[in-house]
Amino acid sequence: MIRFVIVEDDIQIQEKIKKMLVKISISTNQDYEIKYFEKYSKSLQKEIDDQTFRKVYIMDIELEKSISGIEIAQKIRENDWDSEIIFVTSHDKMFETVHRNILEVFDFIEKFHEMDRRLEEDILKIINKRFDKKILKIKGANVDLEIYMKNILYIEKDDRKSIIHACGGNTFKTNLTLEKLLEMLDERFVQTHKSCIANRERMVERNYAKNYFVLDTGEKVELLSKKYRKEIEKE
Amino acid sequence: MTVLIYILLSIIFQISMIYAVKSLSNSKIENKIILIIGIVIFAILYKLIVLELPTELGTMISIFYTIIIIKLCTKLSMKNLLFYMIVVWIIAIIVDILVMFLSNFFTTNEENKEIFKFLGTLMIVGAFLACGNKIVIKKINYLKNLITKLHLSYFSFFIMLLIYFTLGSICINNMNDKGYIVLVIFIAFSVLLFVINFIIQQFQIISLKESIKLLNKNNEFYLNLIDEYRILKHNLISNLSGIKSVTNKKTRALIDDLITEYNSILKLPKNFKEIPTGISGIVYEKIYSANNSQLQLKVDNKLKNNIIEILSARKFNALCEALGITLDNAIEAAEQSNEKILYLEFTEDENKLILKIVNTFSGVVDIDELGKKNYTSKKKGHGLGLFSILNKKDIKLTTIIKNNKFISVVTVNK
Repeated sequence: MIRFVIVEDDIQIQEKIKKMLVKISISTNQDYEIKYFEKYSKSLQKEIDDQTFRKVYIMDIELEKSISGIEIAQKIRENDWDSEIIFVTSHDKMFETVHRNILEVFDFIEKFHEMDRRLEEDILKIINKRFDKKILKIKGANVDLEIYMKNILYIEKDDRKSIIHACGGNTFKTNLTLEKLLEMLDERFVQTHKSCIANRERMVERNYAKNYFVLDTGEKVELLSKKYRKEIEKE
Repeated sequence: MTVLIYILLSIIFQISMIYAVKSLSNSKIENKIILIIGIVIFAILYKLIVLELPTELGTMISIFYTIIIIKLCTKLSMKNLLFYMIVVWIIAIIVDILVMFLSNFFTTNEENKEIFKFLGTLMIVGAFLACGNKIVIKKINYLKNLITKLHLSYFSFFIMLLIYFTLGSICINNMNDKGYIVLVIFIAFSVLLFVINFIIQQFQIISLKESIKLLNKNNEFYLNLIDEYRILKHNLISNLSGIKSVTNKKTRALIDDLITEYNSILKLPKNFKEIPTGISGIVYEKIYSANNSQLQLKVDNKLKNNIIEILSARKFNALCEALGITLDNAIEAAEQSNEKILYLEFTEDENKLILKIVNTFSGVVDIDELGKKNYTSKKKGHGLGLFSILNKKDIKLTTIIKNNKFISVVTVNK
């Protein structure tokens, strides 16, 4: 079930969004619930604190007699990185690249420019998207690492360190062993070589004869062993 | 029977004192079990030890015991806890003195004096309960803010402690000759310390004011520079565009190149004025040094007060040093990433000033080595930056890498 949380002080826009959500939810056979708020309040904070549901926040940026939608998003992101946030705004100057990135905003939509189409597309994407926000957490001496498992491509062993290769070209070194990391990861990760663990969902090609696999990023990793074939190919 | 009444009264007294501190500090009791156990242990200790001790020692034990209990049950900082405890005790002593004065005035009989003692305790409990009143809370917290603003906190605690002992000694000694001598010594000592500290504070305030003046002057200079730069850039591009329309193809291509180059030069933060006074110079300097990058900077300033007013000179300096190092790291990392995003957020709560620096990055990070001496993820540098912040007394730095973003939180206690 998805809970849609609408934060909008314009009743007409609120109604419009509601009708659209009902339409999409019925057509996709999605269980849903809609909650409305006109401004930031204690009850909205209670809603933010309640993380029992998969949520989609649809918010206006400029709210009368209230803190802005951006500030509400900051409050949401204090603890909740799983819910999706969509901003509906009347000012295109509000399209902030920095906020979009920092707060992991799903989309910014202009109220008076194809709002219906954009919102419908976004909601469909969210409904169809696998709700996968599993995180690998590693505690370092002075820094902690939190990374979405879906963003981990593969992990290789190099000398005493395990090297985590993630999407976007970032690489993290840790003292944890491959065995320990495999325990911490979920079933999508398999051992491909004595010194490599890979994300099965990110592999697009496997060549056991030539000992390599190719990732969906195009990267070719020459750490595939026949020894682990059975486990890798297991459905 | 009398002993039982004593124990009961002392427990009521302690509960009401905890209630007063809790109400004044607007804190929540996080661990009720510890509180209940603490009160029960206190009752036992009171019966076995405190009743046998001289009044002064017994009182001191119960104060320190209450401090420990409140510290264990709430998230109050030690500094705030001491402040509210002292306030509460001064209230108690004043009520006690009033009752003792009345008892001396109305009766000489020892038995009647005992009744006054009970009455005094009940009145103190009443005064503690009155601390839950909104007006009382407002007034006490106004005093606390004033003390914090004047950077007199620790000294004030000391003075308050002395006042407590002074007032306490009057009650204990029932205003006899010895009591007066102790009183005079305490007051003279307190006044002397107060005067010395006041002079030191004044010197510090003068030098701080000079620094603020200089910072504001630099700030103004930078802001004017930004405006001039913007106007210059705008006019230059307009002029070049004008020339472009009356020239040949080759020159037009050259002008296009020039315009692209001028437009690609560092985008100065539009919301530069959002950066709190006192640290805007550092932020601007760092961003300006990162010339030629396409850094996208966003600043969210939620501070209600001026940083220089909130922090002591020592903490302000420590903050500047930590911010400089953290910003250097963040800018360099962000520049090497595809998104080139740098986000600064300034917030505060009752006890702390919090600076959150978020940046995108690209490259290799050793999460077990980062922050250790001589480790660096930079191409240049010696790896002392983060290490030196982690070893600072007044600064707390927490770093987390979340979803491919580096989040550094610098916390300074007020």
